[in-house]
Amino acid sequence: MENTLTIILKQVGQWFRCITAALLLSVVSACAATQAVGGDSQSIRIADNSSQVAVTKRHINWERADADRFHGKNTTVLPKPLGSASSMPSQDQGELGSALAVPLLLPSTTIQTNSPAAAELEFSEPVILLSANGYTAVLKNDSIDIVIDATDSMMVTADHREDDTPEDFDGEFQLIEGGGGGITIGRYGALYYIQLMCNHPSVETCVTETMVRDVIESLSIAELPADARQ
Amino acid sequence: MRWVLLTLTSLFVACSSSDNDDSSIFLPGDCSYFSSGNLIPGTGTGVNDATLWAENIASPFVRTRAIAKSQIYNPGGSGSANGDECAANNFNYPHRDTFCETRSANRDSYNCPKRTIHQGIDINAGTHETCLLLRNAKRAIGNGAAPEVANIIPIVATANGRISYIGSYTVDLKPDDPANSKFRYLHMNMRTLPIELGDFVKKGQLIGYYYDDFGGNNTTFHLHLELIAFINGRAQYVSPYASFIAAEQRTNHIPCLELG
Repeated sequence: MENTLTIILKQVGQWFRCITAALLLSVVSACAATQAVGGDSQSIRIADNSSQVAVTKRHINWERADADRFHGKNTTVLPKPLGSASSMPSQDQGELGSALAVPLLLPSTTIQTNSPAAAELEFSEPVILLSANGYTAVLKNDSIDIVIDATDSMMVTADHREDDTPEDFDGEFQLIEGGGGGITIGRYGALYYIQLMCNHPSVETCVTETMVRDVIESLSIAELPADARQ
Repeated sequence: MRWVLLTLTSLFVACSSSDNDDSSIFLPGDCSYFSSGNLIPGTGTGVNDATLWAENIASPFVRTRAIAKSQIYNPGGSGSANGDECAANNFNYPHRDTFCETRSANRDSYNCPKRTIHQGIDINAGTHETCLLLRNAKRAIGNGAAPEVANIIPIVATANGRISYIGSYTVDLKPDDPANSKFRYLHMNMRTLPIELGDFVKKGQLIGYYYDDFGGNNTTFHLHLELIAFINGRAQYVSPYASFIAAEQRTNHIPCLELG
């Protein structure tokens, strides 16, 4: 009997602690909320657009990419990509793209730049990582790396118009956190984010817009070796 | 209605954590966050973007207290009078957004109102005590100890994907799901990374350790996390804040109160 009473009292005590904690917390959070609303923080409210964002596939113009390759626009044959992609694209991609979701554009490993920051940049051979919707290519240099993220997919918002993203375009230059810069371009309908990443971030201007555009200028269609195109 | 919700949430937090195991470092009931876009006053103009740009991700920190905080305007940062990055307050809730926080460089984003901005969020992990341990480890490394002595707080993959870039202070993770944006992790202990370029990783898998690497320079101990998505034809920096807060609650089973 005494034990049962003890258990009941303990239970009541625990619930009392819970309720007291809850009430205290409610008061504190309500006060904090009031304070935050009344504070002078600045923010611009946008709608929660998660329901309005959809992922779409871009139409890739393989005919034009194959034709450009056929007409010898600096086609190069590459070493086999690193590892294997988790899944390969299934759409009909023409001769060039039998293992690729998008045309494989790669820069020259020697970039002549018009930038006063660096007249000539030598890069390593590219490492290519294929994925189901594109690829990433990485070229290394002591001070700057090139990273290209290519895709046939993008998110679109409700207000996006098809005309806003033509097959070919060159986007605006933007700096990258910690040092670096990048530009998105469209080619053959695919999207390519060309990034130059500084390895020594204290040099805030290690990358200029001119350098990124010089890298873009050097892009050519590359071809995978036969054993990587299965 | 708000009072009822607050009380119910608080009751859940206060009571549900009573059978947590002893190793938990989460204090019941203390998790809270300011809304997306609610920056420290005077540090920029945020954007209240509740969009989960990366859905169902894991928090980069598992079973480790991790608080989104300004790295610049809190103790240890260049915008704070207090120079101690290990100050206890750096590891206390609430979370606070730093996406769009003012920077000098002209950097763009999907929806920050200005262009001179912080393109990600900063996260402090651990506690005052682990910060002191890291500080001592860093000193020891400076005196010749192996860099592994600073491997105290693990950082994990937020999604299944592939390591698509490793720079001098940067690791990119490209998720398998094309609907998820690319994650960019900055300032891990780059000399001890357990992953290599091209590795496939699973959500929750160890990919590095919390540190302050900045390409040979120092920053404060923190993780800078970015999300980069192709939106409307352009690679755009979007806010990881809402996705991080959701992931923290989901991964670590800690309901958090929104403070407005």
